[in-house]
Amino acid sequence: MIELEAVCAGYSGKDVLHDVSLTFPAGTVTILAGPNGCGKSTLLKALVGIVPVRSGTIRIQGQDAGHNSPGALAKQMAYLPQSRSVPDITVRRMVLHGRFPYLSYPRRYRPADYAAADEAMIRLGIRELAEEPVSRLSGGMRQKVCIAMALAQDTPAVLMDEPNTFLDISHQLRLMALARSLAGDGKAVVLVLHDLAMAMEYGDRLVLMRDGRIADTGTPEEIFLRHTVDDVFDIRLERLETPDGWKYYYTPGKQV
Amino acid sequence: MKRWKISCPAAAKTVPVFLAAGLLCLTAAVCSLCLGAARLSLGELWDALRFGADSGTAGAILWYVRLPRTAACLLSGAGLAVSGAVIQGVLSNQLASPGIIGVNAGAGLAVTVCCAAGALSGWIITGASFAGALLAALLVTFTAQKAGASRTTVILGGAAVNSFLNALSEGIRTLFPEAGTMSADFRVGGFSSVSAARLLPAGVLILIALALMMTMLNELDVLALGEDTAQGLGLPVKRTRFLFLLLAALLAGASVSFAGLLGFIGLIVPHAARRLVGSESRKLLPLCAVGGAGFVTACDLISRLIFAPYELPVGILMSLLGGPFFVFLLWKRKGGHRND
Repeated sequence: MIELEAVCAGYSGKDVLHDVSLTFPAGTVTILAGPNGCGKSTLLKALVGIVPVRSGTIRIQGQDAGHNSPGALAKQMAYLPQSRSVPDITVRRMVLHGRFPYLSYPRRYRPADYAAADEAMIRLGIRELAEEPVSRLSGGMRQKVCIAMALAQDTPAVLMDEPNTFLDISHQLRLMALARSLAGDGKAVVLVLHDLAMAMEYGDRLVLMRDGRIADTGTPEEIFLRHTVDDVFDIRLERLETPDGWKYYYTPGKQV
Repeated sequence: MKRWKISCPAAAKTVPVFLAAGLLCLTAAVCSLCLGAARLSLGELWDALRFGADSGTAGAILWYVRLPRTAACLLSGAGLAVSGAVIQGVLSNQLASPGIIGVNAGAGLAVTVCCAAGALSGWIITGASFAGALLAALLVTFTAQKAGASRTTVILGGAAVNSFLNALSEGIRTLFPEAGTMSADFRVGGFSSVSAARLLPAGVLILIALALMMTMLNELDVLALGEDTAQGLGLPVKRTRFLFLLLAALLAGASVSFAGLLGFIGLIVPHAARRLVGSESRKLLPLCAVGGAGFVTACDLISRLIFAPYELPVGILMSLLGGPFFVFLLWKRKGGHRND
């Protein structure tokens, strides 16, 4: 479990996050949503130590994470950033770098690391691409390689910033199923998503952000009934009951 | 799932490429020891190696002239090539190299200052050369970060630093024309005046830096994944980047201290190596070390023999090869990275 208590964080002395208090419980999929620039990515970066926390406390499994080294944090949380470089290395090698936090003397990956990387590739269905150069793959395949790298990190929490980017709708749905499966394994899964319909359908909890603050948090059902999404995005969120449960869609709000 | 059929020649060629590079390096080193104004047969070479410098003319030639020179070629070639590969990795820019972004010029300025001040000890020159190279590398990095750190900014900032430092060196040479190392040999790079006394401290530092670098290959690859990804994998990015720049500057600075301003090694060799074995540091850096050592030794041999008994500074030959190669790289990048 990850807890944030009155966290203020930002860049060059200017706070982007203001007084954020949140919990990301183990075994749940939490979706961060909000308009562009509201601080979703900054929140993830603050969790993994990329953006400095100016005040407040972040606790991981009840322990204050403020003094943890980058290596210690990387054993607690796997982080998939929004933008990444595409190195000219093989898929296997890139996924293997997910085991980097566990490297010790003599700084070489061990058979257990190779096994963990193989398992992650199999879970993402990219095992047969293991020896291909990442630079020659399509955007969607590269995204899968990055997700496999995050899985190989084998951490209690997985944070992904817009993981559906570059994925077609079929692979987006598979990714959401994977997120649910990871939560089923007991991990705390945190996703930044722009697709509200998908967020409402697949998230156990939704965190709505606006201007660096938490606008609302709760289950999708609670959020829908409070109409906070309508207010934050200036849209009208609607839903239809189907045999598979509620399906969400949205229409333009008054200002659009 | 759709099956991707993409050949991966880099992986398949790794073993033959390393064997070929090792063979080139060994052949160039043996030829460098045997060939010159006085030719040594393999038998004479073996005897001279076994019985030392006092074993006759062949022993004296080998131990006082050929061996220091060949060692200097091997060490500077390995040092500058690995330095180039690391700088390209750390700055995420394949057009960067110690010669282009001013690292060599920083080392050259420091050596020029030392010579003008009369401080000619091997350790002092090596230390100053390293400090000059490091300051130049940090200056370029700082400038690029302040200006947005795009690929073009790194090259432009480096060119500005290079030009500025070279102008300072020229100014000092004009004011202190009597300083010994400010010969054409130093300014374009060459090994005709290499001595064991100057080579020893620099050689020790190059070997230490290369050994350290080989223990940090995964760190270099993780750094290449991007700053946020690397940090998320637990790499202290700023500290690691500084450490790599420090080691790259140490390699370049130590090499310049005895070889002069050898250009383009740090550009040509990493690019050729990357084409042969890909960008994985565990393959790229060792190949750069072996290939760079062999390439500089071979070029020095050619520059010694081509107009014998006259000798062409090896830096001239390197620049003749490196200039067109750099233009070739620019052509290849035409149309790409327009928004850099």
